[in-house]
Amino acid sequence: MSARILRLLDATGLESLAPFVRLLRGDDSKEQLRRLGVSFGAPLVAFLLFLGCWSVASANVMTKYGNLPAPGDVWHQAQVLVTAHFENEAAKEAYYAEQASKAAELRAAATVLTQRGSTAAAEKLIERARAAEAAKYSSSPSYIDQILTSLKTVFAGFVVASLIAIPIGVLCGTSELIKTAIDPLIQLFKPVSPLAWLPIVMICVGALYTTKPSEAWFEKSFISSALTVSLCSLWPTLVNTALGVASVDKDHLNVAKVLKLGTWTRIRKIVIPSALPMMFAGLRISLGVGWMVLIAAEMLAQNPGLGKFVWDMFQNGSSQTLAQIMVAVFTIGVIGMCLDRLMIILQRSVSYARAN
Amino acid sequence: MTILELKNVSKSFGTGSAQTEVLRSIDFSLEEGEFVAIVGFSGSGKSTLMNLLAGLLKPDRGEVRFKGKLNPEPGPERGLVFQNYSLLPWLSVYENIRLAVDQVMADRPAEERDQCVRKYVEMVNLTPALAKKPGELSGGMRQRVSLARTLSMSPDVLLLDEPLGALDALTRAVLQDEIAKIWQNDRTTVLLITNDVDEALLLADRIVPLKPGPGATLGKEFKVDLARPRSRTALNHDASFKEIRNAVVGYLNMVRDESREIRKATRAKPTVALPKLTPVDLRVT
Repeated sequence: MSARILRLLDATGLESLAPFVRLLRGDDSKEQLRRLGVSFGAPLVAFLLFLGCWSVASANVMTKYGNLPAPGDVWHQAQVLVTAHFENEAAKEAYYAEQASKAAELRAAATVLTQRGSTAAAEKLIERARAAEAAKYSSSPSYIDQILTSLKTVFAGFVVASLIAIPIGVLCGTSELIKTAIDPLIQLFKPVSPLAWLPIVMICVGALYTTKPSEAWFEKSFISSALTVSLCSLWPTLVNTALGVASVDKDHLNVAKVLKLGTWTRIRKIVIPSALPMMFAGLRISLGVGWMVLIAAEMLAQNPGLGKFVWDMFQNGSSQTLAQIMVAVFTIGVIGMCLDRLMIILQRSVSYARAN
Repeated sequence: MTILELKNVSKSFGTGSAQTEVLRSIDFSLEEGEFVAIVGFSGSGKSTLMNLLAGLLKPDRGEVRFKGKLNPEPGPERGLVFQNYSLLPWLSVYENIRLAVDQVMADRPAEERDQCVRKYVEMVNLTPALAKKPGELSGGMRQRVSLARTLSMSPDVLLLDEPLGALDALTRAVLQDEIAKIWQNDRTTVLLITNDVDEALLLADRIVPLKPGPGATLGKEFKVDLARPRSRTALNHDASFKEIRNAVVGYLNMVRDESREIRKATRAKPTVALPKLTPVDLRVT
């Protein structure tokens, strides 16, 4: 049991929790306590120091919206934002319940009218009932909604980037000619900032995505943010995939020759598995880049998401503004950390111990 | 019948002035059912020779014939056991061998292929490690898997490229006995490349020394007509064993000294003849 937990911790990159398990199991408690002291004590001290410096700074820095918010203010605003979300949800539910009961009343009245024979009046009532059912609750998206939008967008962009980068990377890795041909393009576009891509993407999406808004699957803003993320985040995956494929062990390729594996079997059974750890290292960097790019893109383009939230707060200029922006900063950080952790787990699950 | 043949084969690496000739005019033939050992010092081009035989390299000059076919592509009928095992680290022992079996027995039902994998794993005594990854195995166990993978392709010739070179002496001895046993049972044609004279004497019918490079050639061959099965302990007291052993070791030392002399002589020669130049005028203008 404890061995299984330890293996799980190892696979998820949470080795620092291992001493807890060992402590409960009862092996060498002194050593385990020392390790816990280092792996938890040291970060804790650093974090407390950070909070201390922040508090001092907030007491002394005066902005036009009042003092720089202290840790406590930020914590309070985080609670306010979450409460606002749930209040909003509750209001939404209440609104829909009200509309439904209104519609039911209207329909009941319509039935009575039909029985009395005045169908024209009844039809009018039914029309009104339908309108009540179709009515949408309108409110600005809450903080949690913005987070979910951002996550959806970053994943969409990341998936598109991976679908483009991995095949091209495999091609570059297998063929020296293709690699030499494409390499200058990669070098040229890799360092381009998301803010430079964004206007081009927005204009192109505006020109090419002409489906009527009522029939469209995605909103234009969603597509332009996601594509900007893709354009900026595909490079690390591409470069790493190409490198991973190119550095497949020559002996393994000799095995493929001796076994007379076909091209496709060779790629599937030898090249891809061998390159997977490198590929996932690239994907991990890509997702991190994508998340950073997304926030900037949302801010600049006023596309819904966390970036827009930060921008709106900045424009708002109320006394809670700064504290709410700081909440957003921490949220972005925590989500970025979680995404990274997720990729580490995936990366470890495809890694293999190098034999030989 | 000759199964594998090299005729006047040369192989160089590099181009232009950096070109070095590794093998020069090699003539060699392997008869069906034979166990031949090629013995040479490290760096003498043993692995290059093996890659030529397996078809992984093409000769610059001369020809390689397998069953009469000229310069054939590599294939499972010449089963190569790699010096560094070359197991795929992301596949388990079973999957590594299954990959080979699936390739060679593609037309057989899955169940038969499964049986075949298990048979060869059992043959090298690795059934308990069936689901393990190569990274979890010791060097000796990895080489057994590699051997099982090659045997499972039922090759016409087994090419062993210093298969035991990286193992400790005890594991080495155990695996030598296993190879001897497997060969005893089905008498396939085996070519072993090694740097260990005792290993060659224990296993082979014929020993061919490879003279040290660059430009290595094969030396005079030694017949090993010791009775089989050969036991390590009994051989230690066998007079003819000692005699062959001394002859082979003496010969190898002799060719090594010869090659050192030659190399020293070539190095001593001035490589660039300097022209005789006399300055005519040294004034700065």
